[in-house]
Amino acid sequence: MDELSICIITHDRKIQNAAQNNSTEKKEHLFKIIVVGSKFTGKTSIIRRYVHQYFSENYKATIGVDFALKVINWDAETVIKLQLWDIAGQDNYEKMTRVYFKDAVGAVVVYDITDTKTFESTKKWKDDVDNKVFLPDGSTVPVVLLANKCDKAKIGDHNDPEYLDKFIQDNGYIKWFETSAKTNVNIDKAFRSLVEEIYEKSTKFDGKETADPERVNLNNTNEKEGTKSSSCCF
Amino acid sequence: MADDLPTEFDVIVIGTGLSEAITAAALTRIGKKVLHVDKNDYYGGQWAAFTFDKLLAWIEKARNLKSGEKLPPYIQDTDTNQKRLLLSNDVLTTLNLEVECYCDKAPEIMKDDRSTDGDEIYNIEEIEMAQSQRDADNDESSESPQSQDPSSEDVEKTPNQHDADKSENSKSPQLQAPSSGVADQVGSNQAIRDRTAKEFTYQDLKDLWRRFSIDLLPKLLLCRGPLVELLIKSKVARYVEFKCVTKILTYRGNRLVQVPCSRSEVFSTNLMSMLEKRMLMKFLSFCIEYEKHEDKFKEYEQRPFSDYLKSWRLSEDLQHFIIHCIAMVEKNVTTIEGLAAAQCFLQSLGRFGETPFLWPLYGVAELPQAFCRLCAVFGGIYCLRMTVPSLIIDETSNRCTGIITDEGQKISCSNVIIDSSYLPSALLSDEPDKEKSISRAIFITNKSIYPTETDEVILFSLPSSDLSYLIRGLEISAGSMACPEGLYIVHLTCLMKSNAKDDLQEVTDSLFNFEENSGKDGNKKPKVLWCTYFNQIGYNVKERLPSNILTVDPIDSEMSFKSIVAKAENMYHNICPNEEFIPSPPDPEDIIIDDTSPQKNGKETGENAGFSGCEENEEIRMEDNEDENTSTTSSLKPNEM
Repeated sequence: MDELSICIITHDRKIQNAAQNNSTEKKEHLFKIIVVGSKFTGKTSIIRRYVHQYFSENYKATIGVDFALKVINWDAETVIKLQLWDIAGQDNYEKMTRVYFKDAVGAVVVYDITDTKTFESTKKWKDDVDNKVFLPDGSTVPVVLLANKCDKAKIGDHNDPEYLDKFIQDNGYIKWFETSAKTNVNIDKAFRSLVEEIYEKSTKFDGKETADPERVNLNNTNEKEGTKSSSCCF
Repeated sequence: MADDLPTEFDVIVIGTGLSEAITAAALTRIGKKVLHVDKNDYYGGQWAAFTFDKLLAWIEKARNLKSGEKLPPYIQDTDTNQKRLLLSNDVLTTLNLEVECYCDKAPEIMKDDRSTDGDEIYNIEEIEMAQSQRDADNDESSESPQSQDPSSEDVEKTPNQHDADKSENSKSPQLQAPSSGVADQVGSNQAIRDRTAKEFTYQDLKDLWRRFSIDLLPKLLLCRGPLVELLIKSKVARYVEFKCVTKILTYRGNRLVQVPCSRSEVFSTNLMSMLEKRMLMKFLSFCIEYEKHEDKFKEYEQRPFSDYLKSWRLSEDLQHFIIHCIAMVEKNVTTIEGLAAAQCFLQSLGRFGETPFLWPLYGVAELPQAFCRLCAVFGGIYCLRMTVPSLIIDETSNRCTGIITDEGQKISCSNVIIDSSYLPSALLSDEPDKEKSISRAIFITNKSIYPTETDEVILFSLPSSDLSYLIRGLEISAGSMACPEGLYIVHLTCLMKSNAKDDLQEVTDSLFNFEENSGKDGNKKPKVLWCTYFNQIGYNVKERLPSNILTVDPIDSEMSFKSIVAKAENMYHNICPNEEFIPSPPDPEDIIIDDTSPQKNGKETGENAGFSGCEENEEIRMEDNEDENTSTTSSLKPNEM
């Protein structure tokens, strides 16, 4: 099993400041990746395996957390933070709310190789991604297809590699991978390949990411204002 | 779909409108188990926003929906002490729907280029034929003589073509075209207009379908209103971005003029005399803290606001200005309501921008979706496209004990929250409740009603010609992610009087052209390419339901969100009397990843509130960007990630 990078989130501000000082030359990128697919295809398992190197047959639902964060030292100058958004209890239908897609720069579509229906649904998930999220130039975001649970026996002809090669071409995926969150097969490889694609595209749109001076930082606004009526122009 | 659902919940919420969504999120936030369902395949019900193709599909569906027979609402279960309340799918929430297309229809290419999306294919030709048929029918009954000219060749080609010259003549004298005012503004911006005023065809609109996000129920957030505070507190703000409304317009005489929204704007405007300015400032300064000066309004408290303004000896213009543009209330409100509304406006000024209003990018429909996401993140389960045939009511206790799914499965719960339009029609009033119903129009136009060099979100507040009701309009452009570059969406809304088209017709005629080269100022007004009129309907629930079934009106006629938030809070406290309403979720700092022992259970991941992706200019994120996660990395090997 790969020895994986691990991220530590700490609540100690001092450590944060120290870390920032040490890595002032490092360029930091933040990418939001959404993970979609039908129920019980293993989306949460994949995220947990990738971020925490952990698998369990019985997860407790992660309550109150929007996404898992993974930090990657991409190269000497670059740190990449990945936000992996789990679909939570909204996978009963092949469409997502737009708020889930907002600002995503890549997506993972998951199906279960033992369940043909979940493969058929990938089309709808992929369409939804293509219709709801765009890069700054209006193009669709890179998407990988994961044929999950490859530790089990395949059901259906669509799991044939040649078929999948053609399928992903026809449907605009960048790549497909046979994965298993349980036995940790190809999870890192799949994400690596997606992040490479995202990173490459992001360098093209770097200018767009600069902070907008018009944007209001709400907490700061509150501090500045003090009493309720003081902000009023009259 | 429902076969793998748990069979027990605390609360089942039926309908995904905004107050249901807020309540659902509040409930899961404190650990209640919530099932949230909607019969539609989209979130929001009457609060939804659609891409152009989906809007056409929605129109088609709404048109074809016929209200069913009024069946007995209950069925008795023979051997138990239970009865079933049969829910309905055919209560009409949209009435008087009309669609008009004024752009050149290039020969239709009859192929659905998105046929991969198998579930939503509709045939545009059918819609248009239905439309033609409808218009033909209308012509025969000839109830609206001003808009159709059967002898014209154009009409024969496209029967729904509007004869703008005629409607020009039929216009009421009070509401003349705002053209001269616009012309003043336009002069220097001629070049911009020319560049953006591209000719769009119907096919263009269809090709650009996904660039539209067209709200059924547009509303604005007051910067200090309860919804903004709730979004911040609940951190739902992280899911939605906003733009400030950049201008507020109204008519003065027959011109569209900009409402001054700050002290400096009041003093620099040429709309009023120096004396009027002083009077206005004096009044507004009082409004901001009117509660402190009870003696000044006590006598008028329950009397009409307009009488009270007269007592201040404010000029007619100022009275109009205060009632329609600052308080933005109907003319008959009481003084206390008017003062409260004006105060809310004034307090919201300057918080995020020049005007007191915010508009969500992609539209108001983002808001119910954002609260649904919060609900899901805290364990709520969502089922769209799920009909609930009936509620189970225990007759001994007169309480609802659960629902029966369309697969016959029983899911039990201790409370039900339901959009009243899901109730059987026999339990609803026969006629729409006009206080709960609105007239709506949506226009896609080729230029702004008030062209400037920047991307604007424009609110306009116009009294009807007889001053009996207030029509509010909203123009949004590409910067709000609601429509393609070069196009504008204008929403008109007022309380329902008779039907949407009649209620809004005169404002419509004064704002827009419906045909090229119509009239002498024809080219100065925006041209309507496509539009639709409809009424969104609310009914009264006639019968008392068991006390653990809480009903919600499908829409809300207020411009802001005050009553919606109050409704949600009220329902929440009905179910959880002593709990805080959506306490802030834990801060990122409070969630610690312990990576040293990956076998441990119950690990949680970091949460990064300060996420910033690729964002458009002028967007507002209601989040603290300083709240970046504190993160360090260890033993990173680039090749192994």
